[in-house]
Amino acid sequence: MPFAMRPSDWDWGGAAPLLPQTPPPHSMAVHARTAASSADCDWGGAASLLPQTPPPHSMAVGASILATLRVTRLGSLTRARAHRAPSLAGRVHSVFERAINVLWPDGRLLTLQGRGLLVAPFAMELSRFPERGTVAPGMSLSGAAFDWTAAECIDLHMPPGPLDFPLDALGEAARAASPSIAPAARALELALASRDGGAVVGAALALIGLGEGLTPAGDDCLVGALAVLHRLAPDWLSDDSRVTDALAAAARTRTTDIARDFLLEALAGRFAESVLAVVTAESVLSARRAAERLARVGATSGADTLGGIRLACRAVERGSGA
Amino acid sequence: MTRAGLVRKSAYQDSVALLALARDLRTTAGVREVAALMGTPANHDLLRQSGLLTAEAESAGPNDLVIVVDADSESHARAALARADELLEARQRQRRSTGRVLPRTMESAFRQLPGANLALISVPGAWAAAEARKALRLGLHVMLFSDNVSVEDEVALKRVARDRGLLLMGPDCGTAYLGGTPLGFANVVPRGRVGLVAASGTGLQQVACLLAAGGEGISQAVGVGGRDMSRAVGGAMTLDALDALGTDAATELVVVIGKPPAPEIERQVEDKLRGLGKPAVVALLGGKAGGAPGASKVRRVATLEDAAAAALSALRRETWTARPFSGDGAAIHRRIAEARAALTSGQRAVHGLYAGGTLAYEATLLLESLLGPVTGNLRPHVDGIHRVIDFGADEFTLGHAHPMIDPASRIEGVAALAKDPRVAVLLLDIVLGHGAAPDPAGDLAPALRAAREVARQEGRTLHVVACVIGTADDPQGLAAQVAQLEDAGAWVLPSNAQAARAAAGIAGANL
Amino acid sequence: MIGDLFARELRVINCGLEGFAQKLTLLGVTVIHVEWSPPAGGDPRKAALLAALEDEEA
Repeated sequence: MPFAMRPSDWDWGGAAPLLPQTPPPHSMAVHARTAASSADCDWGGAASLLPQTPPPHSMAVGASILATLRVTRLGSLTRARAHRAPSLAGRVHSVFERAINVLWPDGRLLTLQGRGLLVAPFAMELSRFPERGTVAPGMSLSGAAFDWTAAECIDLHMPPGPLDFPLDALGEAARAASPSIAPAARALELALASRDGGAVVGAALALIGLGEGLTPAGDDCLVGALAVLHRLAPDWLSDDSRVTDALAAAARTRTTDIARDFLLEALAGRFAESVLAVVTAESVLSARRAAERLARVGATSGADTLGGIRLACRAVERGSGA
Repeated sequence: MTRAGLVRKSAYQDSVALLALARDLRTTAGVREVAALMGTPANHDLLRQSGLLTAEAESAGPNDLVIVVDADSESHARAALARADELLEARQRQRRSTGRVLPRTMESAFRQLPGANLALISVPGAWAAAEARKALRLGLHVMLFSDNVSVEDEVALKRVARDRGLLLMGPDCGTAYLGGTPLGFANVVPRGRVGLVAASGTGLQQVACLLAAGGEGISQAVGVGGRDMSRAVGGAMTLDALDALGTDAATELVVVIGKPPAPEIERQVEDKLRGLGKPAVVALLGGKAGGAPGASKVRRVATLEDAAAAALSALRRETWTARPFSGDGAAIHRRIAEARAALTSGQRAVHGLYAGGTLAYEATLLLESLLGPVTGNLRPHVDGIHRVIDFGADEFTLGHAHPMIDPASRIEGVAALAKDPRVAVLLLDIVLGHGAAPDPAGDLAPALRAAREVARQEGRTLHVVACVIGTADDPQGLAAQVAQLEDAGAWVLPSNAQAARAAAGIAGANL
Repeated sequence: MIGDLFARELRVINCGLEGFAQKLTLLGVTVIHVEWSPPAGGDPRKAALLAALEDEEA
């Protein structure tokens, strides 16, 4: 059924108190731009988005170990970002068992991963993941270190369209939503069900940065909900830049670096493959499988994201009679 | 009821770790409530609402980790936080190490380990020389596993090593045995009376495994790096190692493995060997075979297998002559003829897919002498139908694991060959031992089966000829690995040289 | 002297891939692993310079 927001009498001016009173040193002025670019990487703001600690002397790192990272799959926009700065160097932000985050000169992260579904819209699948111990936070990594010749570009935008599966295809939650976000998640669901755009934004703002996890549970939940919104009501998000501006500003200042980037991508309509797989599933069976796979991502990240997808789907079904 | 909090700035602990931490703390004595969250504004509010917002937590930013405990008493709270700190430290260490309190520099490691005598260095090439220099300055011998070290650095380092009477193995030294301890990629071989000096890792491994198969063992095996016997480096470590083996009571016979060096270096090495007073075997792949002029104790051989065979014979005081095959010659020739008969007219080429660089090189030499021009990354400017690829070469391994650990690149190579109607024989090596993949034959077997099936469906028999470099005591088990390959349709021969010869024979060479 | 290396028990400082240290520990060899990260802020030129300077002092 078509999903459309109703006109809202929500107080946009009331959003201000939720934002920090003094603009933090690294935020950009939130000004009116098209929704697509407000969440996109911003070269103008790049310098100010780099962390406060002085960068290590930038130098292309250990050529013998990190030269020719052969990229096999990545999102098209990620590719464009990586190509925009061939002579600049990024810096390794954090290193995990199966992912390495690199802070790129445009101020946003790139995630290096091994073979598998792209874990983030800003992830790059390498033919082989660097061996443990060869990469440490702080190391610099230049664009020249990547070999693109075999790279397949994937479009990670959520295509608009209907949901081709009923809600129960997504299965029951294996565990209850994290209690710390339950009230805020519920508020988002009610707002979505009521089709009140302003209330949706208010509820979303309350979720940003909320809860456990390196990507807080609230952010994961919101990403899931945004996935459904981009599927069913992309115009709502793109027609009114106040929506994405407000959420993008909050993403930039009120949550972790990693969650910020997931949110900014989600606001622009781009998602990890595991998320796209659920929302664009074409049958009950594929929806169920994709949901199971998403639920297993991370410790609770995937489950929280799936929770956001579920609540948005429920809200859509519920509100349709209104 | 006491609250206490700690903050870790810019702490990117993955969520699994945070969950485990929170769970652990909750079971600590006297703890009622635990919050482990990132210090975002929303989480500040959450903590405040739960009565868990402490002064430290207030100062935390969105990228900082906040841990707050609510406990029965001050001391319980402090103990819980101390435990949190410990767990975070341990997690950090565990992600990178064996879990002890670890030094961050060579110097502090030296202070923590009195009597340290060897530095094993495998940091990225750009920094390897500096670390090696530090180690030598501390009086440590060095095994320099890292590659991409410049020849200038190598010369300078080996000069320092010589001045101090130290051994610098490498650069690009992946295999060694010191005092019976295998270092790097090494097979489990018994201790014994043969001392080896090798400019090559897999070359050393092939010889060592064949010695073990013949009931002998290794006293010491020193890797000197592929460039040691070049004019620039002058054979520095080769000569020093030979001196040391000469005076080593446990070493009764010496084997030198490498490629033909500059003539003056070759002379120096031979002089050195003559002066050792112990029998010696020299395998300079691509060089001449025979006795060294005027030195009956120094035997020159052309292949790695011959080095082991000559050494075994010398130790048994038997005479030895090189033979193409070690088993039943007639049966082998019959098998070769049958295999040749099963080929279609278009199938003429041997394609070698190698994990071991020296093994690839040895195969290339043998195939060239028996079949004609061989191309591949060891012979990039040669045109030929036969091809040998060393998948361990830089162009395949920069940034990735070596094919001895990760079979993916060779599996791709096998699949690519299956459809090529000119390929008669697929030739490959499987290297076992410490550091190698846990089941290399098992990794490759499905690809080999699939490739043979693809060929079969196109009306061709794709022959697979292989060698397994390993011993019965290796973690992978030699017999089991051979069996898996044979099960997948491969003909497994006892050495790389024999495998290359058999492959050449199938492709039409006159053996 | 190299002969010492042959005769005495190996006591190893492992600097680089931690797998090597783990392997040696399993073999019963005394080994300490260095939590290595690039010195001089990750600049190999600077690190080499520092190392050369230290050499001169030595």
